[in-house]
Amino acid sequence: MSVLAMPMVLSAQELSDAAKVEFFDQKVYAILKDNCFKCHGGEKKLKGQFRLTSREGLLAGGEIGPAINLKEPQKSLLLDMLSYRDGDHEMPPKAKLPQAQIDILTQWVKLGAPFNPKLEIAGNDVPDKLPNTQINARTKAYWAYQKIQHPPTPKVANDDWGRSAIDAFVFDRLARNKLTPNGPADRRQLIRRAYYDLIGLPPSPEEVAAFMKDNSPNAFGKVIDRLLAMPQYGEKWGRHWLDLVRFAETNGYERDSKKDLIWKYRDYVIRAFNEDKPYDRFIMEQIAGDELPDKTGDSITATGFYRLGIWDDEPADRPLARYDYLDDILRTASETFLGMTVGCARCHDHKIDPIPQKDYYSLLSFFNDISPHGKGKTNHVPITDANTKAQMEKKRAEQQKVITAIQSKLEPIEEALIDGYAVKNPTIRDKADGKERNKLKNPYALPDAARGKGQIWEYTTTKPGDNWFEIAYNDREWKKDWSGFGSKGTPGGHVRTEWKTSDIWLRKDFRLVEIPGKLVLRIHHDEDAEVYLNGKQIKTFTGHIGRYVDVDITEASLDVLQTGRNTIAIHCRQTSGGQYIDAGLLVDYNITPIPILARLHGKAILGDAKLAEYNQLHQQLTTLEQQKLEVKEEFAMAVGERGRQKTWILRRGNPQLQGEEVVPAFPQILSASEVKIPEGYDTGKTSGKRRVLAEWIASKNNPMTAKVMANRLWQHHFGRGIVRSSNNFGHIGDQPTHPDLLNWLAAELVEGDWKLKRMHKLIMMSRTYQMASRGNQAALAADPNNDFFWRFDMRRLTAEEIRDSILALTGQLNLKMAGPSIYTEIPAEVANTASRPGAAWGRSSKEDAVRRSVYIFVKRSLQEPFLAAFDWADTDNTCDVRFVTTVPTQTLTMMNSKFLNDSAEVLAARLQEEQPNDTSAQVTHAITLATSRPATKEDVADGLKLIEHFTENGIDKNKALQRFCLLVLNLNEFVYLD
Amino acid sequence: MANIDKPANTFCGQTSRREFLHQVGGGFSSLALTGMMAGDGFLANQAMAADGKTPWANPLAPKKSPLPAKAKHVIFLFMYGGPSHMDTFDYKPKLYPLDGKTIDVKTFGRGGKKTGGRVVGPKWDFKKYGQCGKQISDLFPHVGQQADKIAFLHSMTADSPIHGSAMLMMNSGHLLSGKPSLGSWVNYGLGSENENLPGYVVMLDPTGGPISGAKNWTSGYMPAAYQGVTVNASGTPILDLKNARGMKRDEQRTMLDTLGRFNNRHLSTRTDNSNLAARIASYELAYKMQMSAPEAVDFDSEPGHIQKLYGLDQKRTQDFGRKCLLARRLVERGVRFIQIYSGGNHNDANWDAHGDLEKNHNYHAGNTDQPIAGLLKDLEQRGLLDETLIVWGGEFGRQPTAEYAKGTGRDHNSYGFTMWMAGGGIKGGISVGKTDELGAAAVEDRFHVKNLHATVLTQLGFDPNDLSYFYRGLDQRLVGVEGAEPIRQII
Repeated sequence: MSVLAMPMVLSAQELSDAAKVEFFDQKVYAILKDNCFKCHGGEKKLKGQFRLTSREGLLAGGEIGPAINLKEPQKSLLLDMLSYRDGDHEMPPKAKLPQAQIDILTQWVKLGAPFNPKLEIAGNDVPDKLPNTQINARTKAYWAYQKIQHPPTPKVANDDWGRSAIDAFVFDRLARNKLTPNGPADRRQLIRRAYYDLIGLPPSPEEVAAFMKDNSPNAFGKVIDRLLAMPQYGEKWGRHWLDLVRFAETNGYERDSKKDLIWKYRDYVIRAFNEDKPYDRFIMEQIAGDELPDKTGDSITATGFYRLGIWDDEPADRPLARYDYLDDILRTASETFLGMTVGCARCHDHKIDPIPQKDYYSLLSFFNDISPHGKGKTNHVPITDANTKAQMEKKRAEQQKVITAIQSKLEPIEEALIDGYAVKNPTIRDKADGKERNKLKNPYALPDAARGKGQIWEYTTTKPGDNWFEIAYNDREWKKDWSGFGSKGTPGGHVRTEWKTSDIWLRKDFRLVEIPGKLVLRIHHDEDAEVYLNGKQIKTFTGHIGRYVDVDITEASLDVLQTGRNTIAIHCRQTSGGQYIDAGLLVDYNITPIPILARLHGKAILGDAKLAEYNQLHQQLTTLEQQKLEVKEEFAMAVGERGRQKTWILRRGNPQLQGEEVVPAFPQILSASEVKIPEGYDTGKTSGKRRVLAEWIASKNNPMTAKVMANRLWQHHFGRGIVRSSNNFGHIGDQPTHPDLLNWLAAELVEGDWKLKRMHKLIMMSRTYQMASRGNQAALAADPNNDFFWRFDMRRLTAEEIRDSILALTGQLNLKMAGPSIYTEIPAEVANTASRPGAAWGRSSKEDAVRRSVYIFVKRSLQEPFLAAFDWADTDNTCDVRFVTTVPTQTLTMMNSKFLNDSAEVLAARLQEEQPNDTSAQVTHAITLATSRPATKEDVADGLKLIEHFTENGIDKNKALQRFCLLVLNLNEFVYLD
Repeated sequence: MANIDKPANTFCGQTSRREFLHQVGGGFSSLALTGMMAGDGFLANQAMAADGKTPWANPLAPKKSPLPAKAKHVIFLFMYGGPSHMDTFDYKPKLYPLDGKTIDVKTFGRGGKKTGGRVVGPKWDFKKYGQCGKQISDLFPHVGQQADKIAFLHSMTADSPIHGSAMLMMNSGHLLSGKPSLGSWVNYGLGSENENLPGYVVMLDPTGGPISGAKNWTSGYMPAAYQGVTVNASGTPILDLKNARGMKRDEQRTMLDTLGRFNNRHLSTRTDNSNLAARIASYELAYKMQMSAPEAVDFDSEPGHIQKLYGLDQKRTQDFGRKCLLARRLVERGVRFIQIYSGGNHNDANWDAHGDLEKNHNYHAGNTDQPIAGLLKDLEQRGLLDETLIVWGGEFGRQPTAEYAKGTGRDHNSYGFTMWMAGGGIKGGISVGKTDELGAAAVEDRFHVKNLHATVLTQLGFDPNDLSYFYRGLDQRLVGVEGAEPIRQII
């Protein structure tokens, strides 16, 4: 277009075309060349899709629109960008141009942005518009987007390989590629394979022997059925799912705080697999378990799915952090359920697949009402269903009846007690006198620091002995100083003694002339505190409060309070931010509690028999009341919604650059229909949008869902999916090696009502699954990657399988299921990598520490070191395929870690017990335990020789055996299948 | 180095190797075995990428940088918590007389966005150092002596003034958790020159790790083989390095030989599986590592004057001095990337001076000044400075104004702060970029953390916009999809 054809602004009319070009040549060109060309067309890259090296490019603009507004030049985006008015309008990015240069460019724009055609650099500005990114008939024909249906099963010229459809598909491809499949695997290898694939644990020698002896044609089928019925199946396969949804129990970042109750989601997943919950229902529950008409506590727990990711509790940019949170959900959901990398379309249209940016935000709008993350109980949702609630109410009423009955028996005794005491001590009934007494007596048995100048406490910041809270504990070595203790500036605190470490222990004696009727603890804690009175833990507090609070501890202290010397002891632990601890005790002498009266004077007033009856009734009452507390409502960390949010396309993914508003819609490449939220889906609390999304994903008509899941089933049986990139079925993902087989499996999954156990058996009963893993020259040369499944691939055990197998081998494994996560013992070196070395990791009982790995606490900033060493799943991103690496640090763990050496000792003890005093039998037994096969002569000879070598060198026999056990746990054959 | 690029399940010339393994089983030197195995690709092809197919070479094998490299090693001295630039290297004479006065200035820190506050004048005097005449505060008299080796970057900016996300940004280039750290990228791109030591070493403060712990040296979506290994400068340097339960080295040798016999029998019918052979070799590598790693931390072999140079003779500088000295020893032994943390834990255990600035910075600078200067000097006298890139700085700087009504504490500042680099082809005695007169924000030649990362990668022989790792349907880069230019003024 010629410059003259442009509508002219005033100054432009005063110049000829030639003069304009001259102005460009002399003033403008150098500025553009020096500051803009590098990224916008002068070299190979083209940032923001914006070309500034030609007038055409300038007028066309880039990602966020035309650079020049010819009608209103002052409003040109180009000038806006130069203005540096905020973080989104800063070009060039390095520094603002000098004002003189900006003035020249402003004038240039006002002149209509004339260009010297000779200095233009033209270019193909649409390099990224690959044909696959558009939505048209051709891109819709991509294999992954096709309807799921049974393809015809090929006819194969081999009877053995023609019986099962799976085998026919596999054999057909092998035959066409002139490959011969391996024969069946050795039975010992097969049973071991089946055990690890289904339950993640080794078979016992007895189980192997029974299988070897079973000559019935259905011997292997029986093994599969038995394994599928074991609860350990859910633990093994649930873990695969937990990898996908990046399950972890902390939020990451500076505080990496614990997500309370999120372990219930883990238990839900394990339960779902064990119950053989149909996969469509499993999806529905996780996406919209709170919106379903037949929702249950379980289905609400499933929506913990939305609470699994990382979130920054102190983000630098809050609106962006909100979108990061939603993005994380959308990415995880789209890759996990659909095998689509929708996340790539956050800032621009997908560069590889036909997923426009609009699809991204349309999908995001399904999740946009979800309430934000929060600490503590913020995301806790009640999961007790109506039925259980009614039962609880009924139970409660029954209990109340019993309580009333006991109380009616207690009352006359108590009356007698009070009357008797009143005779001895007339003031007890003299209520009128109460107020006066209160005035006379100091209500503080122990003033807190907010009253006057505080108190002198004994304290220490180094961990004291176990019984530090007992009255008799010797605290003479402790320091003494004034309360409160903490760091300056803690809200509501009165710091008189600086405390900056993570932990502090405090003790203080106080005297009581008589037992008070009411005892109140006034406490300010930042953060967690445990309070002991005369050696009894009477209260625990978590978190920080920012002010003093009063807590009635009369009941809790009844059985320990005494006249004379009493001791209060407090342990406070701080994990982040400010810290403070102080406490005081307030007393009210008006009413003496009856149990204390009974304890002190019961015998004299009531006599032994009556007192015993009183004590028994009182005990019953207390027990019942405690039980009453136990039947409380259950909670889970789950989804919630807040309000109704609008959603816009965000240009460049920037929350400040709102574009077109969008409404919920499915990816256009898969679905043309508009999304309507049917009547009745709105639950009041939620909009029902997620239910619509869940129904679409879990529909048998969705071309992706069943394929993606069938592929995952295959992946975890064969070590790789038919589509190897199991989270990405798009154009840049791997293409399926057996597309028809995948389609067939997906159709089977849907037709079998989405039940997974049936699919496992179908796959495992195939010859393909039961093939040997051995290599042969010809096949290795023709198909080194085993793309055609001419053999079964060997695999290394996963991190969990290695640890669990070691525990199984030594006989220590505790198969207790469910509940809050456990902690293993970790080396100090690992704990010390945390910013709070002492507080980073917990401690479990010995029994709990040897439970299955799936129950180990998943902390984002400190992964359990043994599991981490063996390629445990990343906790921050969905993990579809785990790495399998071999590095020397793993070897150090396997040879020198405490866990391995302890385990070797336990294994040696087991051998001693099961094969006492027979070294040869011990060696044989150990090898069989570790490999599921009999020991060979060479094995036994090598084992005996090693033990002999050690004993000859002065090492005692037991220790020598332990070292042999360590060797057994290091065998390749132990950590590799087949 | 024959078979590094062969696919995972390749049947590659195993016959000779198998024969060799049998010989070894009969008592051949296993050390020679390791060399041979590593050399002919035994350790290669052992792992698969996230797509389950793409094979790659042994993650530990050394790789050549695609472009000529100026630097072979990086030592990142991480001043965790955020040192104040106007009290250390960014001289602001106009800030002194404003002390106590309330002024208008835009700040963003832990306390949120503010538009003004009470100025805290710099608490230390500045002096000119070196031929370049660089003004450096009294906090760093020893580093000052080395000013002619250093390029100061006064106009650094980051995206977050909050520790959690800012730490992740300085270490991984992103505010979001889950991305590989700079050292992992280096490890991935270059491998380690010395297979007996980790390629990426992290040394932590005695008070504990930085916040987010291992997330700061994570390999994110890359295999764990690329993540940083924490090394102690005293005691056992690497976790589980020492033999357990009193096993002597010759006993261990017998044990490994026996284990080798078992594993070779198992391998003999599975020779096409290189993972099994790699695992056999890993026992020999670990065995060698057990000998090499303790030697690397054997400070007694250093002469007294060298120990003194690093401040090992003084209580205050001993800890950081040991780490700096170990860093030099690791560089000599081919370790690529070393990160040393000054400060750990929370609050004043690191440079996070919210309360008493003087006390905090006197403490942390006093602990590190001499060791850092000693490191620069020592590397230079050994001719190692040319190939070793030193980076100094924290996750952000601090504000010119006070955080609270009283006191000298400064809040965080990511609008502008100072880092410096030396060695590894970096020009010495220069300063680039400027903050405003108050030190509140970078105004001239603003550089982002990504530019710093790009500079490190450039010096190591990479085009920072080319070094990528395929993950989640995208060629991921340390400098992000947008890319970033290195800081050309200093290279």
